[in-house]
Amino acid sequence: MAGRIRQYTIGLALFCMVIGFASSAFAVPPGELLQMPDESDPIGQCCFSFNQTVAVTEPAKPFAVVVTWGVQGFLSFNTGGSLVGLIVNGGPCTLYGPASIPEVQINTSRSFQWVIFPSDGLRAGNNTFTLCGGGRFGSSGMLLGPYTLAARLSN
Amino acid sequence: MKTFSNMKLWLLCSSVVWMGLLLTPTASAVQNKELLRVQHNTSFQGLCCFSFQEAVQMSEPTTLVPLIVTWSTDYQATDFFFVALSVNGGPCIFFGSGGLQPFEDAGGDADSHTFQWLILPGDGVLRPGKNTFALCGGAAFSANDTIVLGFNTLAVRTSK
Repeated sequence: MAGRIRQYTIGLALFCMVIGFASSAFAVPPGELLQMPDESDPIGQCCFSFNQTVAVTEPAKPFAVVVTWGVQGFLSFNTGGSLVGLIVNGGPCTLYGPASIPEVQINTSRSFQWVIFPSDGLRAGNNTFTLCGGGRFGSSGMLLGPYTLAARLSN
Repeated sequence: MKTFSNMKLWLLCSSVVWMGLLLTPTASAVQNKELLRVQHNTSFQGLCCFSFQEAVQMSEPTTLVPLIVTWSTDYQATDFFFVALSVNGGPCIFFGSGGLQPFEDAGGDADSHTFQWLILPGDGVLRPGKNTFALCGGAAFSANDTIVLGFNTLAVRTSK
């Protein structure tokens, strides 16, 4: 009887291990995708954090990361327009590609693709990418519509 | 005689190590050729179509797979401009949308735009092995029109 219970326990443990590994293998790594369904109004001169972050887990030898930001309509009140960039791993707000939102753009959806190379400060393990920016010259604001932020390894 | 054998063995081992060292940077360089980031402004003038001097590369398997090329840029343009791709040194072809609206601002403001182009095996421009995708285009109406390409990124990836 005791032997049968032991066999049952071992079998159950193995089953749980398989289920655990399977779900972790198929799950989308948390934090690579962000959906911002509401409007937001970051106000200030460039550059400050918009407090929205995505993350990727890098292997021991980091790959380049492609971050895409797509925003559905916005209104930029800034004279000279606004800039948008990324804070990588808590560093300074940096422009890793195009960054410009022209002055007074209403309901014009657009997207940005940014490329971050390992030499930009990527490291093995968790890496964070936080949206940042602000007015190019002044400290007036912008109104952002719903947006998505996505990070993926280039491997 | 034994010393000579040892020397041969040492030479063989060191050759293997050097080959490994040589191949390692090649592998990582291939990865970077699929992605390009430009962080300066470049001015171009003229009618379509000429090269914008930016290119990425992707290696195709024997059985070709579709590729996605994405170009995201800041720009200023005095009039309407076309942008497209020259694949493997071929003609400048539109693999999707390709129009940039005029945008001028004396104060330094710029506009931005992102294009996604899909290149299918049936397009007849891809080949097994290395493929090059060079940005091309030019003004739609006048040879005097100018475009300034600002910070931009060019990326190619497979459709999987």
